[in-house]
Amino acid sequence: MTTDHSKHHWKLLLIICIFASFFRLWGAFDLHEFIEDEELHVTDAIAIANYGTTANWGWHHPQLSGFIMYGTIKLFGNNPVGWRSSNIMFSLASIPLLFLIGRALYPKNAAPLLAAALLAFDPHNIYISRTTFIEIPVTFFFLLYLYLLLEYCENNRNTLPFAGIAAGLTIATKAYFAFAIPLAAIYALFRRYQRGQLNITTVLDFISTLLLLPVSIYLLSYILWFGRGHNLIDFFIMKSDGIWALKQLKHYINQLFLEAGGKPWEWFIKPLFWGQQRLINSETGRFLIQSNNIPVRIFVFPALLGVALYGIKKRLPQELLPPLLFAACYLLFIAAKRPMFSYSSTVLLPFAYLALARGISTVLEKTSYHLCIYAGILIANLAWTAYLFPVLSAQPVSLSWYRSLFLQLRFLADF
Amino acid sequence: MTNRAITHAIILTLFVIALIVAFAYGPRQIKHLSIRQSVSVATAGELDQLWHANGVHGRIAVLFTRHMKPQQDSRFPEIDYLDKALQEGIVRKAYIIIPDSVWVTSMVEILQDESVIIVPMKTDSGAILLHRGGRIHILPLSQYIPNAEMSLVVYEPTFWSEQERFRIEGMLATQQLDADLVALVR
Repeated sequence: MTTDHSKHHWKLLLIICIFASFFRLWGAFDLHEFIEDEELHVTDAIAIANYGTTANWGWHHPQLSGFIMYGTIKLFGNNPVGWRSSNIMFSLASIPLLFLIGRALYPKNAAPLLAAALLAFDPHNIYISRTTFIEIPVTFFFLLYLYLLLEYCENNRNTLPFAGIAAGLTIATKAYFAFAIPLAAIYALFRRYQRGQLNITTVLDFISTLLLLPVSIYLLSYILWFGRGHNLIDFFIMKSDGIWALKQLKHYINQLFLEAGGKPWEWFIKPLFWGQQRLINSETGRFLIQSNNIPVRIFVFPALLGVALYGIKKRLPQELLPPLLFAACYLLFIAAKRPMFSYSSTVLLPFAYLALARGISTVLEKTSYHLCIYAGILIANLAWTAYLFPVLSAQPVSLSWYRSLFLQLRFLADF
Repeated sequence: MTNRAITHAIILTLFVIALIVAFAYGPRQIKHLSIRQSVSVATAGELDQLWHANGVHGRIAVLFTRHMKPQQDSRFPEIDYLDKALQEGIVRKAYIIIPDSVWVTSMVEILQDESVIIVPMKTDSGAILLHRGGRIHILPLSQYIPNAEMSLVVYEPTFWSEQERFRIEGMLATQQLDADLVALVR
């Protein structure tokens, strides 16, 4: 990639981030009531920071997200800014991070920029970023881990200890990446092996930075819980109780609403629209509509398969990494014998969009008009998101503008 | 010393600190009373004040009181002072002992409570409610075997038959149930 192309990509990334900031920030703090599970998250954050345990049944999740939200609540107050600002910051930071990951995997390609744009303009990711769901910070921490690991194994930078810190922050936030973290580490080891750099020192480095360090951070994140009189045996009992409890969960207060977001197998297959409304009069209303962005996501599974086959054919492990990471997280959803809800799809999007972007760029790079098509994809994506933005952000809208959308809704509750 | 060696030394130190926290920090936070006490209380508020005033922390609580009744506005059948004590870290684990005569009806009430998010875990001797990251063991008096650890006891004599009172008070007197603070509910 020439220096000119590189500069253009950074400029375009900046424009993408500006749009992403608008979609995530505009009106995000106007709703002073809790959206969906925000009440649980906020009360949990306050309880975790004060007492080392949650206010309700959410004790089975790790605690770091509670500390982070408590930090913003202390900084900005117990108000929408305090509740939602950390998620917005993590979501925005994930976009350039995904770009950097893409650049490490596909150095001379438009795929990184395209992937960052797809994530930036995903309507569901925008919606989730404007709430308090833990999926946003945990995705950021994993992307940080992945980026630092790739800088180590692809560019020989001394970033392995920092990758270990990021891995620790990931597992201290939520368990989504339990398979993906070791998978990425195995990838890094394999890349070192390919370069003839795998030796006992490297293995010891990995054990120290990617095992001992994350475990230490994970345990220390529970220091307030241990301070309640518990020891490590109690900790293992609590964790196994948590796994047991999750399997027993039979119903939730907002069960219908949560199920309207579809099951994991549906998230990338068919259109899903659901949400909440507050009618102002017979012609206007405010809405919080979620959708699985099917015009884009319908291409994810074919892209994952295509990129994987391409990687196998060309014997390029970096091509296989996004599909494998996607599968590692997706398998967790299938294997976990508990209900999985649509907000969990957040953690899949970076890998999905890396694969999709890579698939598109691999097909188009042989053509002479690829720049026009890239521009078309970005503009179409932006236009689609701009159309949905008023109804995913509770802006007042005329009902007639979205009549065809409302006909697709699987579920609509009042807020 | 090379940078690599320094890094590994720091990580190893952090790991050792984490293990110390995991094994030793918690038990050192448990606060007992230096002098055993038995205090009469009339209300849950008085009991809450008693526990706070004595600065107890991280304890096991053993409750010999009337069987639990679901609270109207909570998702979880619990006694309010116990929930507060669990939240604030005064109690980390609890045992609710129920007379054998009402054991079956009590369990039916608990298991049929549809407001409970996490169903009780059935055991050979009774059931376990998972709450605030800790366990509340519920079992009939006939199945109760006291812990070795010194406990906070809440005892409502009028709730038990003469034979049951004899057994409970015997456990306390012989320190088979070792308690530094006994709250007698009048």
